[in-house]
Amino acid sequence: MRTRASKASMDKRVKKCESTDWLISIPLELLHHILSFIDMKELIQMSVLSKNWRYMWKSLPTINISQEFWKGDEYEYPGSAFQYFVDKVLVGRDDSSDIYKFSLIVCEDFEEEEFPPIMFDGYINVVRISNVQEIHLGAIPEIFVSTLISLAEQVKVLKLVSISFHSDEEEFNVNSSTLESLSLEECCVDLEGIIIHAPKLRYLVIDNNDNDACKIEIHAPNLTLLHLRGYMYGEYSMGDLSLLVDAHIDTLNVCKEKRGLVRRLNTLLKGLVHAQTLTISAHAFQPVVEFEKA
Amino acid sequence: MKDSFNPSIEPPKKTVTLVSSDGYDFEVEEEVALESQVIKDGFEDKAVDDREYLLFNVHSDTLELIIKYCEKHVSSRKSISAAAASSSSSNGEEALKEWDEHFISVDTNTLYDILMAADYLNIKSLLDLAIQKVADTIHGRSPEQIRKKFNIENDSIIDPWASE
Repeated sequence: MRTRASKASMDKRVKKCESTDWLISIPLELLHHILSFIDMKELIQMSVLSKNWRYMWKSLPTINISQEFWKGDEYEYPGSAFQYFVDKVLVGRDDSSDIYKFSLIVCEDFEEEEFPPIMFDGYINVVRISNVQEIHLGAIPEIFVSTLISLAEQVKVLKLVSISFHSDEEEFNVNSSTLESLSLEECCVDLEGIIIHAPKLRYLVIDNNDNDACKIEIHAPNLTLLHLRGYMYGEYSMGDLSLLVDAHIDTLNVCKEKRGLVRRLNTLLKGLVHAQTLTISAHAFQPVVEFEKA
Repeated sequence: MKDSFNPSIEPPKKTVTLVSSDGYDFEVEEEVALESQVIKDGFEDKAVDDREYLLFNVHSDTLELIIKYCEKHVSSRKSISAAAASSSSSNGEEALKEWDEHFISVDTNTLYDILMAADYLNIKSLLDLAIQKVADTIHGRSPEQIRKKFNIENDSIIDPWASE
């Protein structure tokens, strides 16, 4: 397959890589992409590599901070060491460079006092003024609903896993022209309602694992993928979802009052008539069967 | 299985020539070369008998690997979609993932060559694979191990952790 080229002009050789520290020599965009997979704790440890690496962590567009990397370390107060670290990262970074993605994953065994919602507000404000586009938050004991609403109104991607909503507002009422993807997984919401108006939203995952009987309203004309899991909500109101491609309904029911359940399921399914594929789990469908029997 | 699914006789494969930076010609099937977005973008503008691409930034050793990758992906894609069409079960995607993993398990300098070539030729799946591999190479290693892996010379005068 390989033959000598006839052209003498092709003599020019590009030297294959033998250089030292090629990581630093590659285009910045590539380097940022590579480092977007690395946790901030490891990135800061990398600042001892060489002079070139010393301040690298300060201007990266992706910040991943996970307490996972602090497990097993012997600190007298592991929570405060972690908190101190988050503070230092956000204060110490170069604030002239934007943050594209911010991910903060806390471990479940955190005490609420150690991570009060007001402190978290401070973090989020720093991230917000850096034009953040994508936010992942995990297992944070409490966040103000107002903070989450203002985030949802700025970012493209918002993913919340195991978060307790601190109800300083009665509803999680989001009116966002930027939001493209929203996931609320295993969150403790305890509000009067979840109301989403998001014209650009394409991807929505919500699970209600706390049996919140609040109402849910979805107005997202560009939604293509919808997953509803966990307990059923108290009331459904679905706007125009004509572009829906995939809908997965995997809800649980513990309520004794079957008629109400069937009515709610009915409203939900009517809202999903345009879906190209609809998957309903057996236990979501169960009340209909039981109601018919009765 | 594939023949029964597509009974039409396939026309002879068209080929293009890729020329490496050190002057070697590689004749590859058109669809293999089109895995590169850069080649694909300029493809229609070129005359059919002049489909030769001079890849000034890709050494023949690297180009050989890149072609191997593209050939594998073109053929796997075909067998995966054929399996899907005849709704026979296939673990084609998993097998391909395994193949990818084996393919990218190279020394860090070869990894650099693949990374830069995938970027230059704009082959997204290969670029993602290489990027993930570099990240995995960094992850979980001590600074000293990272220095060794990437030939980083320690020129720091001050050790920022020295005070701790």
